[in-house]
Amino acid sequence: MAFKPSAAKKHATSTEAALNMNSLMDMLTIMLLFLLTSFSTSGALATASEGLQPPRIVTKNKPKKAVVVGISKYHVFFNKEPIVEVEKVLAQKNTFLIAELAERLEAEATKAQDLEDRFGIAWNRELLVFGDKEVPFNVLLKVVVTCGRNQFSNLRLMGNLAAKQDILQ
Amino acid sequence: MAFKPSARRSIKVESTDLDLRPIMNLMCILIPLLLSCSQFVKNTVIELNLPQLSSGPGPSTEKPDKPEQEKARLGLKLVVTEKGITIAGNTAVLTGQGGAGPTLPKLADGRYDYEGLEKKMQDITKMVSGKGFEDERTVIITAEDIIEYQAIVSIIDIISGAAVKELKDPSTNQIVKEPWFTNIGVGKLII
Repeated sequence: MAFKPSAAKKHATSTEAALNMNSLMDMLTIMLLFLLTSFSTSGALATASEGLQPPRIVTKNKPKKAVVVGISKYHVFFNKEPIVEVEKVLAQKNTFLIAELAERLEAEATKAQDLEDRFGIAWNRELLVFGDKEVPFNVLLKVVVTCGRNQFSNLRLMGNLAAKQDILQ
Repeated sequence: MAFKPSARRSIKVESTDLDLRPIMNLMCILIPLLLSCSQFVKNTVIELNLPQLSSGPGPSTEKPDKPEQEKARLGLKLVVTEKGITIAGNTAVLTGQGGAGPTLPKLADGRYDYEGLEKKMQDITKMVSGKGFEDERTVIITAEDIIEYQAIVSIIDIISGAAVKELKDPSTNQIVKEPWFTNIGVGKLII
């Protein structure tokens, strides 16, 4: 006995269905915005570059926004602006003070003190040192002493958060 | 003569869907690009105390009526050299295993002995605890000029996490734990 032809298949008409991409677009837009905002916030304090690879630090302390003194392999920076070469700092033998940095810090301290006196904006004397992991101790010490002598007594060394095992290995 | 009817009248308005494919393509390129460029690292900071350039107070001309009883000073110092880490106090220097050289020589692979340093600092805190040293929570780190910043930072990290001090909060009577060495500084040792 022959099979009865399928009524459903015989009368089926082919309809063209368009792919609805609205939900996918929403998701991608949210992801893009999230990534862009996370980029902008992480770059607010300091940006790592080729000559400035920060050290690994185990202690968890959230950094606050403050005056940043950077020490790359080649330059000492004051708020991202190169002010003196590291070679020149290394060549200084009889002093712990870096004159170029001292000048900038003094100006910054005067400005902050003035703001505190006139408008009551508290100045906590904080300063972030953002150094390359290979910077010699001699340069670090000179930067630290210069900062201390110019009223920036709350020093913080900034680096990338790492696990303790990374340091021990 | 009558005007020719405008050709615009015959234009049919057709509704077309917005073609999202170019935007989708752009998104599909941008998102992996941003993800690959981003470094998922968190910034952190460690506190540092300033070095003291002077070795102590100068000669005073004023004499106090009652001489204050001077507290003993531990003067704990860490000297970081190319050979290793030497731990010293005001009265003694901890020598290495052979009776000479740094307290903690570098390991065979050239790294500093951070684990050994942690144990030594824990031993020192146990020894000095309750002995009444004025500066029992102070360490000064000094190093050779060429010692790298990473080594200094790691040593500060290890010291600050080595031991804890339990303090009683007078307002709540609760025990609060905080790092033993709260006063870690860097300085230059002048011999």
